[in-house]
Amino acid sequence: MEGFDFQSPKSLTDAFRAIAGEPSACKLLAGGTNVVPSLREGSLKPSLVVDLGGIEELKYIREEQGWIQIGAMITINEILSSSLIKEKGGLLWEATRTFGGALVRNRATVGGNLADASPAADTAPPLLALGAQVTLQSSEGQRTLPLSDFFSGYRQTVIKPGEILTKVSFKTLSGESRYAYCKLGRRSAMAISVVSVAVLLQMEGDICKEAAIALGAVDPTPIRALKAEDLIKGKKINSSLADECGKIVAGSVNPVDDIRASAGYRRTLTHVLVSRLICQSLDIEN
Amino acid sequence: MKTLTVRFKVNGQEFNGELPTDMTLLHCLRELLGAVEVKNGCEKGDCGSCTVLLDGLPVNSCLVLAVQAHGREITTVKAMGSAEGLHPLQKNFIDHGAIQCGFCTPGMLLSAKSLLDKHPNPSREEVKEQLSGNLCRCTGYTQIVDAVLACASESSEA
Repeated sequence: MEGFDFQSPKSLTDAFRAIAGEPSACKLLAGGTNVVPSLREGSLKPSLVVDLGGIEELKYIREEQGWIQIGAMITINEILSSSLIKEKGGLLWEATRTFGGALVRNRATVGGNLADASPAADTAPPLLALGAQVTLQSSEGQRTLPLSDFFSGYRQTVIKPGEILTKVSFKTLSGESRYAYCKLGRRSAMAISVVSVAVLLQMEGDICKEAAIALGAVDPTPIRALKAEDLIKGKKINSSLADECGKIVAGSVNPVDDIRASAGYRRTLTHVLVSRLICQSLDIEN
Repeated sequence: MKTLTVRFKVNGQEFNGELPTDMTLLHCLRELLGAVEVKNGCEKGDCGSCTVLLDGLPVNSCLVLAVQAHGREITTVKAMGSAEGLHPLQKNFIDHGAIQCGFCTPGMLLSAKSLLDKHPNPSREEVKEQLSGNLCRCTGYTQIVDAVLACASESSEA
């Protein structure tokens, strides 16, 4: 192996300087839980690795004007330990409980999980349902876009060479928010999900004012189920409407056959889980 | 091969030397520093047998590049106790039959230690959760969880 140059900048400014030379031959290193094995196996062959782990300005969780802001280098365990996220971003908090295992959660970061863009990325469905935005910065400036516009294909994102994902943000959940999350894997820890679903409903009395349904591992990217969301918006939800919703989502996803499950099983699970989670979030019988 | 000068501590002992940038901390510990108590299992972060404490936090050393450990403190199971002076967790692992082949044991002990250091009285569920990244193919986990809980209740009585 040729090997690679390694830099560990202490600030974003230094990081942009480090990647400026040949940004497309550079690999950014966040928690390393996917990138380090790929470097070792040689499936990734960058000429430069830039470790973002020393950049303190990317490590914060704060609330600002009704939004939760999370620096990209916050680890999954830091999210899990955050009372702010538990209280005001409970849907994301729920999902971090089943992320990897205790060891992986000490390294893996929210920015790395999103930038890695696995269809099964565990933070993606809850963040998509929360209507999260991501901020991409470069030496030229920054842009903020909805997470739903961030994934551009299987393991691909709109991040351009020279850009760094620096922040994830979403609106705090209110007392009218009802949510549920489920990750179904082969076992409860250290699993890559077979199907994961996040449901977030904003209620006004009995009526569903806003609905967000997001899924992982059933399409080339994590996705929102917009058609099903439209079906329940403005309505009073009962179990048959929830079931109808599940059916619509199952009919529109494009799952794969792989070592963990068949496409057919994933489709059936999609139907069952979407329906179940809508009911569960509203405390109604499924 | 590209290298960097790296300095860190392993069980209190200073290391200072040139390391290949593509070497994982696991390989560095085992092959360069002879710390073979750190076990090499899957090398993908799935099994936890290579667990070390990095600045006190349990991590898979196969998921860390050795150059990333610059300026940091690494603790392996060797620092927990010795044959003459076992750590209470080590004693409880022996007493409860929590060790069979022993390959997962160094990682299990370090994960359990980091839990008890933070939460001296964990529930059974919390112990299982904290050990979720450490696989054991022999014991079925029951004895391991029993040993950790016994150690916790011993120290709360003391």
